[in-house]
Amino acid sequence: MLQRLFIYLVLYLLTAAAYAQPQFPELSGRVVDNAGLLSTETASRLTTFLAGHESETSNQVVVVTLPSLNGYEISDYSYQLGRHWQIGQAEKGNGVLLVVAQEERKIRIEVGYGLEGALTDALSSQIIRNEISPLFKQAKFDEGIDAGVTAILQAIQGEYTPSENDGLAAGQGFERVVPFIMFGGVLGQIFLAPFLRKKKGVRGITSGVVGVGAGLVGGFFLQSLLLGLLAGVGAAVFSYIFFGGGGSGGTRGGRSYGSGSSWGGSSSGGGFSGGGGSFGGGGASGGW
Amino acid sequence: MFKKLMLISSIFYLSACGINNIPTYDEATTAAWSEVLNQYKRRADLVPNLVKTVQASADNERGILLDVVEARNKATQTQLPADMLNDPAAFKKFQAAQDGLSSALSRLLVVVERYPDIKSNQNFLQLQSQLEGADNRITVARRDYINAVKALNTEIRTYPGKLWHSFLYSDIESKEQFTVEAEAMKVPEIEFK
Repeated sequence: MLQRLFIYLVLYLLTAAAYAQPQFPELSGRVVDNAGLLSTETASRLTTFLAGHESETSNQVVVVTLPSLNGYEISDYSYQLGRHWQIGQAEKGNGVLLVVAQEERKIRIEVGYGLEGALTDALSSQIIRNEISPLFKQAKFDEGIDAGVTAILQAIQGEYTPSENDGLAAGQGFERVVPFIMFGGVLGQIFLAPFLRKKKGVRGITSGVVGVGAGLVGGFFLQSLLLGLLAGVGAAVFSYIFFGGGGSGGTRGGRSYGSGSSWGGSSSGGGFSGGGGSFGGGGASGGW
Repeated sequence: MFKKLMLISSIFYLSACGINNIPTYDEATTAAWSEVLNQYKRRADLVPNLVKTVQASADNERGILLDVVEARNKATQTQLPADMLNDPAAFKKFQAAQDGLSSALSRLLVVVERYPDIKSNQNFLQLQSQLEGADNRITVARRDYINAVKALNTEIRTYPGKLWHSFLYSDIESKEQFTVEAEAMKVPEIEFK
């Protein structure tokens, strides 16, 4: 019974993971050169440049080159890619994507909600038309992207100043954990019912399992070690209070989260990840 | 004792099991709809400048320009009743008015192709990119609205949302969906000259 339920839980998490991964490329860094248009030198210089810009202003700018759009409109593809990667800070929506599609010879500047005022559609279009496109026509991709990025950064400079706390506020984070704690507690009750009159050790193990479950679920949805840990401990404590599950449950619940965190963490790219920003179709497209 | 605990935690269970879904989705739908209106307005606001710019170089295209202005007025003057998301007739009327403006604008842009000096005019290029941006945002906003409505309508029509709906939220109705505009379904005609 226990095993079967646990298998269901794992299956559920796996299907959820499958849904969360459409055919978008991986966010491997600030410069995702999948079409191989850039020299290593330019790519690493741009990466440093863009990282410096983010630490100054918190704006996230990402350069993406794709071999092909596989039949999508570039405007349709780009905003979904931006949402998928969550480029930009969550409260500011200050992300920009410079997307280049090699086969279709299309360029797009996709602007997050928060920067639409600084990097307007007209300005984006001008940057593509006057800075990027002429250089691309001479097959100068390094120079073109360089010029484009420079112009984009100039346009958005100073629109936002960095703020101190960009993460979740403490209270907000706790609110998000509560459902998982309850979920864990209720699971605990379902699991525990058949064992209630049995040995103390069984109860301890069961609430440990509950902690594992809650930790996994929490970690998966929140993608944060701390919150997942909180959820795991919370669930174990919840079942402990109500059912006297024994001290071992608490520790196991907490420790178990380790496995959950690696799940959540693995979905984002090495060293760089989006800050939760969103996109609504701002920006402009062009070609060469 | 056990029964009591069951009762207490089943209350918690409810809160984790979708009792709040319908109002949440309803709010999301309303927000998505405001965004749709917002973006349509953005487009309508661009029209007067566009008309002025084109008129300066192509005064003899008065007919199409008048069409655009008329379509814009129709689109902005459509009365939006407060409950239009639950009112199929009003929703359809709104959509028809906006589609009318879309098609008038696209005809105007086709006509402009014949005027090289408009096409290279900086002012026009800027307006054109803004218009493209507005259209693109409309597409995104409409799609977000469609998804929000889908979530709400699905919640209302499936279990356990269906139960919550009948017990607690019978005042929240499922919302109208967009349909593909007739113009977009038409295959473009090719003319040989």
